[in-house]
Amino acid sequence: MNIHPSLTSASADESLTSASASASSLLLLKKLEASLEATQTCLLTRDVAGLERATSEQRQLLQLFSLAWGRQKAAGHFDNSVPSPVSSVEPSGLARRVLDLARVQLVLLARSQQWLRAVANMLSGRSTAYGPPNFEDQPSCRV
Amino acid sequence: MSSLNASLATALSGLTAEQGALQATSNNVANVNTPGYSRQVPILATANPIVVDPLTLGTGVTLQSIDSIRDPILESRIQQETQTQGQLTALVSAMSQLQVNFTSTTGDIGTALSNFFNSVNQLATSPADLSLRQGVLTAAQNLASAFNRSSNSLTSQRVNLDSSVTQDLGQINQLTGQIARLNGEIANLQNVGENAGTFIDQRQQLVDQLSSLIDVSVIPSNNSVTLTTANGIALVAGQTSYQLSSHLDVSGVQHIFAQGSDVTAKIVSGQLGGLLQARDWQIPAIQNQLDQLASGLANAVNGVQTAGYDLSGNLGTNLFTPPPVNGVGAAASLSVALIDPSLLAASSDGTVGDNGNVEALYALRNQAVVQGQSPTDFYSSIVFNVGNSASDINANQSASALVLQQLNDQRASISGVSLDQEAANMMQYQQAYAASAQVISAINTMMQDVINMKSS
Repeated sequence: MNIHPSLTSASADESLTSASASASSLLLLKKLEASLEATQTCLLTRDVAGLERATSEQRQLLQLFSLAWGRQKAAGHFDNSVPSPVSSVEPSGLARRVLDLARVQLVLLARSQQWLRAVANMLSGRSTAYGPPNFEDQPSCRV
Repeated sequence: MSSLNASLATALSGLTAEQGALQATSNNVANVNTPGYSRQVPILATANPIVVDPLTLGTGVTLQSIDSIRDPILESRIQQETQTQGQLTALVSAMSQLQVNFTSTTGDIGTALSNFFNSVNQLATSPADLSLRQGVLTAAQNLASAFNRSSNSLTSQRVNLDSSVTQDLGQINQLTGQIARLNGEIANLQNVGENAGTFIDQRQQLVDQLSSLIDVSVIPSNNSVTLTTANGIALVAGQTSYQLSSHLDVSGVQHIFAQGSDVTAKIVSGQLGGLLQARDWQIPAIQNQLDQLASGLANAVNGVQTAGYDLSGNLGTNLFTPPPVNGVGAAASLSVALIDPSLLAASSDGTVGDNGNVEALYALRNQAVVQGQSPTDFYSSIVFNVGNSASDINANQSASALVLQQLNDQRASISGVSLDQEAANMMQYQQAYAASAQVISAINTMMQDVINMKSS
């Protein structure tokens, strides 16, 4: 994953321009969007390894985005009296798409969870009561 | 000769079987782009041998059947997902129209509420000013109009959903009738051992269409299917379809009846389920909240008004017409009762120029007047809930669409026609046909030889 150098170098804080900070945030949002789209395929095909990779990547991206966001805020880039060097249309549209993708991912995760519960119950055998299985008692059913 | 004839019959069986197999391949190729078509596979089996002591001789091959390749579990999952997708699509459409009522514009309730309290605040600076008093009355009128518009819009949307319910019922009845007829066609063919694959495909397509409209449970039975809703309402049994009807209820909307029973609340999925959910739950809940807000606000404002004194030193009268006691219809009927701006009760002690009562009126904007919340907070919560619900439903619909696409892709990979595979099959059957024809040709030569032997 390519990360903007200005985000990893503490000494570059002083030289961080407003345009590069906004561009970095935009870049991270785009990567987050691409990662969330890739996760959908993993969830539909139940590719657990791919899902783990994508989730880890998203966690990193969110951390970096929070860092970049904090720097922008500290630099006063959200002060309405200061004109923003970056058009506000693109980030807000991108942010909305990322939000929508995150919501869809939540729904797909919930459906996968339901499916796993159904499979786990089937594997548990007839003696198991209907409902989410107790994995502590049945190590063979660990997912 | 008898053994030559037997060989001839055996070779002929090969020709016939390969012809039938080629027919199946030809049908597959012709239907490669037909939606819902399940590819057909010829099932060849060895014909029963005969015993001619001491030998057991084979009698060739038979085309036992032409089977359609389907995965019933996958079909069932597609039906269920289609129902979910239908329901969510109807809900998405309804929620997007609902959201329009709560979009921040110059005429929405939130803006009108804010403008009303701003006008009251301005009046507090000069309580005897008639133009400022008129400003308050105008802002109150705009606020009442905003409530009326939103309420009427919700009612209008409910009427539109109602007519969509009737339309969907018509489509459902048409589909169940067609499915019942196909059950008959399929039964007739299968009872005489004929292949009914094409009709089964057609029936499956109709069931899929029906699934998008209403929740459907498919129960396979002898050479047919029985369809019910998830709650057991009969739709199709054999060659009989059970029509659903609609009648106007006392609540003013169409209710759905099956065999004389009201089953409106039992339809939970499909497009019809989504329409009913929006019509009977989502919209009434929002309407109820608007009524509560209108009622609470009107009563609170009137309470302050009647506790103060107007420009003439008389006790104030209601600013808004009193809402219904139970609040039902308060938003639709909200209106301003005062015409004369001098009747606004700005003073708290009867003194001209005193603004005590206006201050009390302005303070309402932060007081709990509706279910422990201020008017602005309560309205914000309505807007938030509508937006949040819409977002959730949209996300569910997107997820359902993805799952349905994947299931359809899986069905295509199992039941769809691969032209490459059919081309290979065609060559195989063609070669087998040619080989059988060669055998027949050889037997023919041998028979000629026998005849020539006898004549000489």
